[in-house]
Amino acid sequence: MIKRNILLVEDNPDDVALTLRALDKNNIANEVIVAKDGVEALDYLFGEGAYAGRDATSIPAVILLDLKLPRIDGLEVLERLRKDERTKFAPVVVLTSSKEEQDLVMSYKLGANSYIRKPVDFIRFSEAVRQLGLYWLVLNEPVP
Amino acid sequence: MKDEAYLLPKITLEISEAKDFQSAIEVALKNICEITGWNYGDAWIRSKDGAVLESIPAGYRSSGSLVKFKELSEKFTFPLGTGMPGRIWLSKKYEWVPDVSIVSEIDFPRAQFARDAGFRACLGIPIIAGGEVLAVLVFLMFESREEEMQLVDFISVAAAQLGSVIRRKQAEEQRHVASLYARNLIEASLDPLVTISSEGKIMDVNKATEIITGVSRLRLIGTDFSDYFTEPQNARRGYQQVFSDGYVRDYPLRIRNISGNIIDVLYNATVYRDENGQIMGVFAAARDISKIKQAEEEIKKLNAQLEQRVTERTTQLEAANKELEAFSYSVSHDLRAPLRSIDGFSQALLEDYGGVLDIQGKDYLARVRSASQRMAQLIDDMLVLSRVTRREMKRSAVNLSALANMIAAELMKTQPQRLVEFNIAPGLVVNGDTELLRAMLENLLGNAWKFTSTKQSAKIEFGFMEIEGIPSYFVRDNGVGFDMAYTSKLFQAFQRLHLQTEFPGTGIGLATVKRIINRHGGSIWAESEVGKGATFYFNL
Repeated sequence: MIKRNILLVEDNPDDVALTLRALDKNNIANEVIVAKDGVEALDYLFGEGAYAGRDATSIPAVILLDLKLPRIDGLEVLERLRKDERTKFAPVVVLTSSKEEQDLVMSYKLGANSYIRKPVDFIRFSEAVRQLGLYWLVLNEPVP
Repeated sequence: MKDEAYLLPKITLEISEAKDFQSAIEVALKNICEITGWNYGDAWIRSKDGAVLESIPAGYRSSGSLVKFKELSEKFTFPLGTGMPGRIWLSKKYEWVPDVSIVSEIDFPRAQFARDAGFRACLGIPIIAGGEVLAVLVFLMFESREEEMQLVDFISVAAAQLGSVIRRKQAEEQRHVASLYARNLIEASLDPLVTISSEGKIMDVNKATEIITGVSRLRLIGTDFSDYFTEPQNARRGYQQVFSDGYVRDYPLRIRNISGNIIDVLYNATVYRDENGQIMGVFAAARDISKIKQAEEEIKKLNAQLEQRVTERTTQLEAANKELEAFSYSVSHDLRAPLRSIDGFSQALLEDYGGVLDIQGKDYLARVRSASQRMAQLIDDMLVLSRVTRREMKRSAVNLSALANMIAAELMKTQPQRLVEFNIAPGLVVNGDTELLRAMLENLLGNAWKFTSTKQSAKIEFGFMEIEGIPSYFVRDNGVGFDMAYTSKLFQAFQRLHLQTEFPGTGIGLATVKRIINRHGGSIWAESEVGKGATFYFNL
């Protein structure tokens, strides 16, 4: 069985590096696609732009979505992919800095499956990544 | 006594020309005595209390020497039924005594003095009007004389004339007094009063009407009532309504003063009738409400200004709040990211290159990580503090006791090895914002938990007491306490009274608590002594 991809939508290269490190540390070997903003994320998901020709019916095992992104922000990405038949059931974990109430409420309102605030303490961050990997990549049964 | 009857009209005329009761009697006595030959005449009326009859100052004397008898007579009073005046008052019939010098003093109490004055014949006659005795006239003469019917008749007729004149005069006097009273009332009114005929002409006004219109009474009377208003049509409709409905209440009109000033008034008016019930006109009273109107205008203007100011302030406040919101949002996202890099890559260094670092190198990296984590905590606490201010208050009944129990349970889970005795008073319910009050109690109880960590047996109490009549709550611990000298710094952000190494913290907790209490309109203060615990009191 081919392991499905992880889509990491993150504009901060440090955070990308740390997230990849945490995934690696926790032996999560799924291929990680990194989108540096909302436009790239949507292009990947719908097989458009730089990802033209990609099979859009193949959806990632989980989408790790930052909220503050250039061009199209995380909430808008979430809104658009929930509206699309192909991606409306894709698991989306909002992985962001803030725990502002407005971010939390809007994320859940738009259909996020989880909301995780990135801890500053890398050890705790790594633990969070381990748990979400375990849940979404191992335990969770995706929509057929 | 011959044909004196022709003199009666003259007497009647003279009596009726008299200006009052006294002079009417005086005129009557003089005329009767001079025409019919009596030497003396006086009159008796009821005293004010009605108990006796007394003589009135008016009288007639044919010679000056009779003054003494008059003076003596004025000292007499006759109870009803006693003496000649007293008997006549009751019997309403005349009495003739041919010679008073030979009658007893019982029948005629003044007999001795009459004898001394030389009087003989005496006639007493009542003045009757409307079946009532108004006065008794007594005549005396120096000669003795048998009763003469003709004379009695003449005097009786004159007395009857006198009676009707007196009665008329009394009625007139009463009417005069009554109308003077009414006039005084009308003039005393500060409200402009006016009577209006069915044709809408002014019939009468008081002084206040002259003042408010600026027109004299003489010029007002006879003119159209409606002429003195800014809207004559309305004024006309007003008094027509009174004629048709019988009254108007608080009818608003505007009087135009001769100087051009406009005065807002409210009219209250009714019709008034003559004794037969015929409507004579409208009696209208105006109330000057220009001052009230001015005050109303002023209030309206002030309210409008106030509203304008509130709107401006609200807009400013909203703008400031939005800015704060944007700032907090940015802090929340952007300030933490670099800290994650610092901590994350320090950890990566430790993990991947730990072998090439000595103990000191590793220690430095540990310090970098610790500092970044502490800064992250500071940012979080600052955001909480600012959220306390930004957050919209949602008031409801909040069970502080239940909240305190929940927080205590959570605290005990964090360090299950500690021995801490919580004593939380049950059933303390207040009105407030649940989330804010939870944050407040978390801070206060969290502090108590933290500052008792060095105690073998820690005690933390949450309770209620009335302080100066105000329901107050307190959180008490037996921890390390603090020096009251620094109490002013206690509730300021980033102020700490303990070393970070002793008791970790950002110094934002109590500032947050104070803000929450302030937002509830309450106050908070603390009492403590170093080594003897601390108590935080608050009310909401």
